[in-house]
Amino acid sequence: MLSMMEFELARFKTPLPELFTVLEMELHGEAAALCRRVGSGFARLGECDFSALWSEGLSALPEEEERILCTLGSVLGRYGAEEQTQAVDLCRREMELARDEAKIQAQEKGRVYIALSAAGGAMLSVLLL
Amino acid sequence: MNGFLAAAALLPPMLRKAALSLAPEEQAVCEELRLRRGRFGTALLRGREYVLSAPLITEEDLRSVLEAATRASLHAAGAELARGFVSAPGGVRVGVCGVGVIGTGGLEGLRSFSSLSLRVPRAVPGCAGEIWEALNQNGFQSTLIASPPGGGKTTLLRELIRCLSERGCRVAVADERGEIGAAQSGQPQFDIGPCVDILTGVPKAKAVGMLVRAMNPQVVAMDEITDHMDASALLEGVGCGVRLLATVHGERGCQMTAACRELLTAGAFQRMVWIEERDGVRRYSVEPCD
Repeated sequence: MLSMMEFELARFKTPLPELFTVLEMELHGEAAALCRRVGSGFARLGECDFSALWSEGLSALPEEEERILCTLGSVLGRYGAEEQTQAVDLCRREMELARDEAKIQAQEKGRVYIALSAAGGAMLSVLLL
Repeated sequence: MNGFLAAAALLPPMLRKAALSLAPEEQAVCEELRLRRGRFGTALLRGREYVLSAPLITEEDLRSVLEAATRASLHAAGAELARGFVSAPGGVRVGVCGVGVIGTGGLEGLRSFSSLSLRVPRAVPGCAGEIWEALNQNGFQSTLIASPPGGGKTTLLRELIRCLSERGCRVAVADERGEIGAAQSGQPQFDIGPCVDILTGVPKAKAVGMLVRAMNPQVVAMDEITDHMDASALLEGVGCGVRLLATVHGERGCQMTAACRELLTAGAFQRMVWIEERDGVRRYSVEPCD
């Protein structure tokens, strides 16, 4: 999701309402659901700002992903394309680091995570990247 | 459509509350809402600014307005920002001041915003009543409307478009900034009559050519002739037998812009409408273009 977002912003400067529609169509699973939640909130822009819509959309995500993605709420749509793509790129790198750390921890502990939330979180990270 | 409410809807909550607390008769004549960083917000009423009861304006307030105006897509409004404004829903034009962003292609946009001016769009049905007969003597002819900035040119233009259209005249409108029709998803929110074809968001010079070639208009209307490209496009329209209805910044007795002089010299306009304000009252006068 973040890679596609970065591409759309840098290449086409796609307006955010359109961007989330495109992302929802191209993605699947939780990432698509996130884009759908944010996209449906644009009708309320004006009553609340985008950062509130973004936070609401993230609320269904695991804590770590929500924490990393939350920072984008105060940047997306408010600055030039270059600043926004830099913020998205930074977010993507943080997500990659978090994913790599989670893998290392799993290997060090020598356990196979069979809990749905852990597997779901790893899968979500892949989708969000 | 209520232009004042459309402008107030762009404001952050406390400022919006202050703007909406203006008396109905003040809202009805409010021309602009002005926000300057570090100062109190103001409402421009009858040429004077009145302070709105809200905290001092912050940069966050300005960004919040621009977020609402661009539907959280400031990055997509670069071309407009480079011309010093963004077009907001409801036909509200938001003038923007800040620091220029200069790139390889010249001015690319603005940053570090310092002030905004929200122009309240307004329809005043009947405002053309006193000059309608004069404009239609021997049939409607190409007409240029002139006044200083904020003089009511767009309001009069909108009403003349409606009047022409109501009488069956096919009017094609080049509405680059979306202020004339306040189109949402292409549909005008102001009543501009039944025989109007409106092209929104397209640079005026290009829009005129598109409209003349494709929409078989009897009149082409546009706001604010600014440069030689606008003038050339309008002259092409004249060459195709289309009548023109346009506006220009100007004051009686002062020199007109180069683009305007080019059009007047070429005989593109036969009538001139001057809008002047005297004793707080707007007055219209119609003259032949010599």
